Amino acid sequence: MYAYILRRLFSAVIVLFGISVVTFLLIYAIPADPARMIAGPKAPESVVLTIRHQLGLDQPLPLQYIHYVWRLLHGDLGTSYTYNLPVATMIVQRLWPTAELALGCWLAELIIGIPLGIYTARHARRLGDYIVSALALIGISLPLFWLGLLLLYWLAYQVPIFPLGGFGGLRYLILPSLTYGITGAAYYTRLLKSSMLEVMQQDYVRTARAKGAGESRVTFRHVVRNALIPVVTFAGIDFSYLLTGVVLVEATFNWNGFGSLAYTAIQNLDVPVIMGTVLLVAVAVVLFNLIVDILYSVIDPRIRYS
Amino acid sequence: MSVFWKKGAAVAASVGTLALVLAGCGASSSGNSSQGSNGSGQGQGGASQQKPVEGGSVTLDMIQNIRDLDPAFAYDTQSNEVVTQLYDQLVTWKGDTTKLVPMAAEKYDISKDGLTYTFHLRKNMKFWNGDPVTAQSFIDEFYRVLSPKMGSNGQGFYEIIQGADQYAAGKTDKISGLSAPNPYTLVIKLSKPEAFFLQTLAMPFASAVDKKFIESVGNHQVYKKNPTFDSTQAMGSGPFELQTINSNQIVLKKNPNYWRTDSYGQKLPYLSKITFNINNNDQVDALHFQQGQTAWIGWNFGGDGIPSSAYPQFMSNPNLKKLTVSAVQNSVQYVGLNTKLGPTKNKLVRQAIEYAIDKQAIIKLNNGRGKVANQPLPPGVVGYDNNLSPKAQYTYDPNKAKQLLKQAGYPHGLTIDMYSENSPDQVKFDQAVQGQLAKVGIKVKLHTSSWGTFLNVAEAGKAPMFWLAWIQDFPDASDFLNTLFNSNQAPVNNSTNYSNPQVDKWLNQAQYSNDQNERNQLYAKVTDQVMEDAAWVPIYYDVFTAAVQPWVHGFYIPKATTDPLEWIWIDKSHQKG
Repeated sequence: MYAYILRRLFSAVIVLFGISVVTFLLIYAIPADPARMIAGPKAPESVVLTIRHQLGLDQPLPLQYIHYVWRLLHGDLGTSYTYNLPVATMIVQRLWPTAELALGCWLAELIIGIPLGIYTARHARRLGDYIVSALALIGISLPLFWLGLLLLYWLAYQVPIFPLGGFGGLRYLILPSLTYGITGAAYYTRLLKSSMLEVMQQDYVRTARAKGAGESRVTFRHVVRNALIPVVTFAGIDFSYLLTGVVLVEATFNWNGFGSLAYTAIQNLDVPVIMGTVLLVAVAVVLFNLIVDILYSVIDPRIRYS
Repeated sequence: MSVFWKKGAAVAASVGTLALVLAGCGASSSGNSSQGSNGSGQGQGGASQQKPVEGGSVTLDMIQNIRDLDPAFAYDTQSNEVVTQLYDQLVTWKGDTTKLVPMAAEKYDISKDGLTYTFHLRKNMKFWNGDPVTAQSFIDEFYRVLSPKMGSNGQGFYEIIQGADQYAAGKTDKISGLSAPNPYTLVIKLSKPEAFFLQTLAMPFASAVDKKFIESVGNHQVYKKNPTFDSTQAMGSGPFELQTINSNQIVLKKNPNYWRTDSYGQKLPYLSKITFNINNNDQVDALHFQQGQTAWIGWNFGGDGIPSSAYPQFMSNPNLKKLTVSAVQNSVQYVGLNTKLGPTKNKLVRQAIEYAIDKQAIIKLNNGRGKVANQPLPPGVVGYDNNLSPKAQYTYDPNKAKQLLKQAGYPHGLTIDMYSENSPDQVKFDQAVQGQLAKVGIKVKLHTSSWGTFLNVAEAGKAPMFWLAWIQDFPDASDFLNTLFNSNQAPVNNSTNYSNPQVDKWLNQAQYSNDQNERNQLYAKVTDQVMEDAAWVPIYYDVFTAAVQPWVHGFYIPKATTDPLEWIWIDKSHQKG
C-alpha cells in the first residue's frame, strides 16, 4: 500500500513538472507583452524596458523557466505583475473561501443527486422516474449564472432571506451551493441510477432478496454500496475540480475564490498568478485522484493495492 | 488613469480612466433637486442649501480590486480613485469643473516665461503617522516617479522638468529643476513652457509621500531595486486613512486630523468610514443599490456607471430614474483607420467609411448611452472645435460612400481587416460596423481577441482598422490631439500612423505655447485637418450615468479625476450606531 502511494506520488511529480513546462510555454506563446500592459499605453519605451528588465522578461525563455523552477523549489511562487503581491499570499487569502464554496457546492450536489439517484433506480421506468429524470435533465441544462441570478433576485432581493452575494458565514454559502447543486446534481443522479440498475441484475442481489432481506436493506447494504464505486470516482474528480474554483458561481455571487483569481490573471496577463493557479489545479487533481484510489479499498475491500 | 478605455467594466483587465463631465452644456442632470443642484457648489465651497452633517458610513461596490496603493503606480481607474483619497496633491480640480485650485499648495506663482512654478505649501499638513508634509515630500515622489529603476507609468508626464530626462535616463542622480528653498516652498523649473503642466500635478503621481515610511516598508516585491510600497500599504496625508485591504474589500476611515474645512468651518471629511466591496457581478451591484445597501452606483468613473444590464430598468422605473445623474465624459470611442496600411491608405476609402457608419445606430446598441462624436476632442475639453470646417464634417450617407469608393478605384467593393477586443459590448458594435459597411460594398473581416492581444496588434500600428477609446488623463486638448495624431507618437498612441508635417508643426507649437487663445486656434486647425484626412471615425462620447440614494448629499460627477468622497455626507437618519 505504502509502496503504491510512494509510486503514485513520484509519478505526480513528473506530471506536475510536465504541466509547468506546458503552461509556461503556452503563456509565452500569447502575442502580448506583460511589460507594456503594466506600464500602460502612455509610458515611454524606456519605462517598458525597465519593467521588462525588472521582471526578467528580457532573458532567454529557458533561463526564465529555470529561474522559475529554482524559485519554486524554494517555495517562492513569484510575485503578481498586476498587484505586486506574492502569489502565495494571494492564493492563501483565497484558500478558505474556495474550500468553503467547493465543499458547499459538492455537498449540495450529493444531497440532491444521490437520493434522487436511488429513487429513480428503485422506481425505474415508472412515472416517478420519468418526472425526476426530466427534472434532472432540466437541471443540467440550466445556465448556472442565470439560475444564480434568479435565485438571488427572488431569495435575496424580493424576499431578502439570504444576503445579496458576497462571502461570509453559512448564510452566504447557501444560495451559491444550491445553484451549483441544482445544475450539478443530475450527473450524480444519472450515474448512480445506471450503476444501481446494473448491480440490481447481479446474482448476489437476488440471493439477498431470496434470503429474506427487506427492500431497504437490499437497496442500501447490497445495491448502493456496490454501485457507489463510479460515483466515488466521479465525486473525487468533481471535488478537486470544484477546489480549483467555480468561475461562474464565483462571478455570479461575488465570491473571491481561485476561479476569479485565475480569470483576472488571464485577463491581465499576470503570468506568475496564472502559473500559480495552474500548478494548484494540477496538484489538486493529482492529490484527489490518489485519495479516490485509496477510498476504493475502503468501500470495496476486494480492491487491494500492492 | 489611462488612456485606452476598455468597454465593459466587468472585464477585469485593463486600465480605465476617469470620467468627466461636459463643461456647462450637455451635462444633463435628471437628479432630484438636492443632488442635481448642489453638485458644483458643494465641490469645494461646501455651499449647499443644507448644513452638512458629520458622521456615518457608506458602502460602495467596486468592480475589481485596485492594483496599487503606491501613488507612483496609480494609473488605472480603480487605483487612482482610492489613492487620491489617501494622498494630497499640490493642486486639484474644483468640484465638477476643470478649474484648477490650490490644494496642498496654499498658493502658487508661475513666472512670466512659464518656466518657473513656485508653490507655497500649507504649514499644518501631516501624514497619518504625524510626520510633517514639506516641499521635500513632493520632491521625493518626483524622484521616485522619474527614477530609471522604478518603471512608473507617470514618468512621461514629468520629463519636462529641467534635468528630469537626464535623471530618468540614468545619466545624473540629481534633477536640477526641483528645489526647496525652505521646507514650505517648492520650486519647479521646466525645460520648456508647457501650458498644461499644472494639470499633471493634480494626478496621483505628484502626491506627497513620507520617505521615512517608504524606506521602512520598502519591499516592493517586483521592484526590489528601488524602495517602493507594496500594494497593501499606504502612508498619506489625505482625507481618508487606509484601514483594511484584502481580496474582498477595502475599508477607508476618516483622517481626524485632515486640514481641510468647509465653508461652515466644519472639518472634512464628513463620513467616518467608506467600505468598498469588490463585487465583480454588476447585476448584483444594481440589486445592492435598489435594496439600499450601497450609497450610489456608478462609483468608479472609468466604468459606465449603472451597469448595462440594469440600465434599461433604471431608466424605465420612475422611482429609480429620479435618482440618476448623467454627464458626458471626456472620452471618445472611435474607429481608427490606418493611414499606412491596407486599403485605408487611400484617403478616399477612409472618407467613404466616414460616410458609411451610422453612429446613432451604434449608440442605440449601447442603450443610448453616448453622444454622437464629430471630432476626436470631447466637448468638455478646452479647445473643442465648435466651428468645424465643412470639409471636416461627415453625415451618414451610404450613397456618397459608394461614390467615393468608386472614385478610389473600388467599384466592386473591397475587404478590410478590423481588430478589436472581444468583450460582449464591443462585439455588438463590431457587428453593427460590419453590417453598415457591407451596405456600401466593404467586407469587414473581424479579428477579435483579449484586450492584451488586441492592444499588441493595434499599438504596433498593424491594424488596418480598429475600435479603441481614448480617455483623458487631464482635461487639455494636447492629451488628445498631440498624443493621438503627432507623428512622433506613432504607432503606440497614434495607432493609425497618421503623419502630416503641417499638423505636427501646429501640435508642437500648441504644446509649448502659453497663450490659450493661440492654442485653441491651433487645435481647431489640427481638428479640421485630421477630420478631413479621415484618420478616425469618432463614434461617440461616453455618457456616464450614476444613481444616488436620496439620503446622500454632496455627490457630483467630476470632470477630471478625484471623486467627491470627502464632500459626501449622509442624512442623520441614515447614520447607524
